[in-house]
Amino acid sequence: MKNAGVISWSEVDTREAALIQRCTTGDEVACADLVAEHQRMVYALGLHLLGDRDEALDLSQEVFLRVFRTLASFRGQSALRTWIYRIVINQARNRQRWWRRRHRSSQVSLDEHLQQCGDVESKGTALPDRLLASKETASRIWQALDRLPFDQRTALILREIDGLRYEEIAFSLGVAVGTVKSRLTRARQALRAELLGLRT
Amino acid sequence: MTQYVGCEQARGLLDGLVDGELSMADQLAVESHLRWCRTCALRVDDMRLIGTSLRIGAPAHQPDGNRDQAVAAINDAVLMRVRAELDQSFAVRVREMFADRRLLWPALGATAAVLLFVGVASSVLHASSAEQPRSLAAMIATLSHPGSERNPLRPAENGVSIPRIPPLDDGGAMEFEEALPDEDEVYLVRTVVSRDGRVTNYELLLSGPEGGTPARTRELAVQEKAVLDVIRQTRFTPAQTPLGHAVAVDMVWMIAKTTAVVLPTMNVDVSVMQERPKDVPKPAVQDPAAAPERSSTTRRLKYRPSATA
Repeated sequence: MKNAGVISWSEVDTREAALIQRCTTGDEVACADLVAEHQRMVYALGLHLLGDRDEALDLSQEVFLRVFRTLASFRGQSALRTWIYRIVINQARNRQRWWRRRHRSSQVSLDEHLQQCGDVESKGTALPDRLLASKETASRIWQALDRLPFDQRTALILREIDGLRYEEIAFSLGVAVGTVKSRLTRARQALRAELLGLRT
Repeated sequence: MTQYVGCEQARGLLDGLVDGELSMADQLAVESHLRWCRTCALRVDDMRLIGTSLRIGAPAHQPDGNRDQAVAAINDAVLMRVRAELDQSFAVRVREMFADRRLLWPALGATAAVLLFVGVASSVLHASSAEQPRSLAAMIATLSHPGSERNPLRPAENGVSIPRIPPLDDGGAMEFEEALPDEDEVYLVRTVVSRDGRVTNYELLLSGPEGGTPARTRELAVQEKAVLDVIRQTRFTPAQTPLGHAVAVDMVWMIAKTTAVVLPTMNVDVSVMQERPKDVPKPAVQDPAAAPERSSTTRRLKYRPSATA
């Protein structure tokens, strides 16, 4: 079994290490910098995992509080960003168990979201596959993604949206790299079945 | 030269190709395969389309006028809570330590396992540290207390008196009279008499005659049990040292019941037979047929039990 990659303190960015050091001493300015640097990433991942804006905002606060509580125990076993990803995933997993039982009916689908917020963002230079990814396709893919098990969904989101490498995903999920590969394969198979159903 | 891969092998590498996680050799091999295999190429196209759909349909990537303000507010909210947390009580901090419920059951299980282990270990230690009766320490402790129930003395040695049963008039031996069978019998019992005169341990060295038939055997067993019950309940006047200290003694005592036949022509001084030494041999059993018939003149003489060391 190949474990997730581990990096040493020497490989952590010097500026990041200094920021962490300042945060552990209670420097509020450093804490504000750390939050500002990662809040968008934390919020986005929380939103993709939970599918609710308010829940994602609440989760973001919880994640940063936990980061500051446990930052003293951070020993550079990964990049700070990957370490924060791990906290986000754990918090989202706990929150989702509780939240899905109670607020499942109030979850907003992507269709409603797109109706409220407008069409998908378009870029100037459109790639051929992007042209194919119509609004309906994206909506169906996201609906199918929401039906996947949490671990498969998380692995696919970390890979496709956040662009993490297999080793980083493995660390964030606390599993082996081989497990990440199998989860990605199964998740893509399920979504591809949805895609094929869309074509017929 | 590019390595050849078939469809089956290529399919296991397609995810790695899409994610850019293949080695250079594998990547070249899979790309070479895709040039002629339309099925696998379509599969890769679908995977890339899924990725693209996820990226462009991601909720966080949609324009939202309020989102930027809300995200920016995270910073202030977090800093405010960090400051407030410093003032929180210890109990609240402990509760929040267990907010991660993933570890709750493993932690409880581990705690239960540790408690179980500690319980088992302490019971084993307790059992192993308890003094064993055959240990040297127990033997030394026993020998250091002569005259105790665990180390009784022998009566009539070093001036230790012999425990006595209260006189017949006080009813002390009356129970024996009732418990003993009609026939002549001798019981030899080894007992330990405690400091307060109770029989704490006993061993039947010699019992009455053996039964011939099963019915007779059962009858004798009942009689023997009755005698032993009386022995257990017997209270002695405790043995004492010359200084007057009560001590436990280990002694052998004989309970005998003998029937003497007084013929009309014999002149027997009954008073002589009130005390019968233990070394007096039991009268030989005569042939019942040859024995004289018990008549109304036959007297049964019951002897008090006598103790001997």
